[in-house]
Amino acid sequence: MNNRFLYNPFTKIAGIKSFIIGIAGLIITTFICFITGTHFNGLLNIDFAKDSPFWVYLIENLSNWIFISIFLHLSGLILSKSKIRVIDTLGTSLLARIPLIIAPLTRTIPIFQSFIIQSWEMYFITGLYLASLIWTIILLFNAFRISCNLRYEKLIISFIISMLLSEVCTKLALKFLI
Amino acid sequence: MNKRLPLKCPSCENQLQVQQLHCEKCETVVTGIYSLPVISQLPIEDQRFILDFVKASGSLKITAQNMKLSYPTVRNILDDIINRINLLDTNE
Repeated sequence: MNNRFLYNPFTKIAGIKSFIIGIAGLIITTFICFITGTHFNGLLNIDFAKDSPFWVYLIENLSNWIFISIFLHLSGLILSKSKIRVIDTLGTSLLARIPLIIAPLTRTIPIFQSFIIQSWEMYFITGLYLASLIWTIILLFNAFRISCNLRYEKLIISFIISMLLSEVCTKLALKFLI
Repeated sequence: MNKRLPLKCPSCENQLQVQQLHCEKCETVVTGIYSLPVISQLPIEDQRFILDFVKASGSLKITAQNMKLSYPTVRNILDDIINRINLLDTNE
């Protein structure tokens, strides 16, 4: 596996294949979030609280994925001249979320299971989350670029707008549903 | 050695044209000014892609499998080639 595959696997994997791998990743991430009490309540947020049923974690992870996919695909439909497929946008944006498993997975290690605020354990987990978030955003950007065949300013501006809109919608949906 | 067909004039960057055709068997030489076909004016990688695409009966799915690339990647390559062909058609 070369370095390029780590930040852009979508030249090789897309469509139904990325969707299946991504769904498996989403289910595993949700389960680990549930057992460690890690909440992704928004695309750019992480919280720790072990007091929620499984469906809360599932709704959080699903809405984080669905809203960004909807906005990216709509951007593609409006701006791209290519015949884009919804399965590519859904699958690749789902696959792009896999690095987010790193922070909750680390919290399965006993010393990271419960920690006090401003402890080194908290900073370590937050640092890991930020690194995995940057990785996810790079993957999401490449997923969008390949799935929707956009370039230059169209690509960058529509990606930023889609991220912002999906963050707002996810927050509102989670407030309404949970 | 695989010689590349030169497309641009090394001196002024203008599009080159064919002036002479030669039969290896009887050594007949045809002289005139002929434009290169649009496909010949494309980069060699694009020409190879077009051949692979035709051999796959024009199926993006089969081309993607043969090239070990994802479907949207192959579709994007094809769309880029279509854009280049349209540009060449406009310039002619």
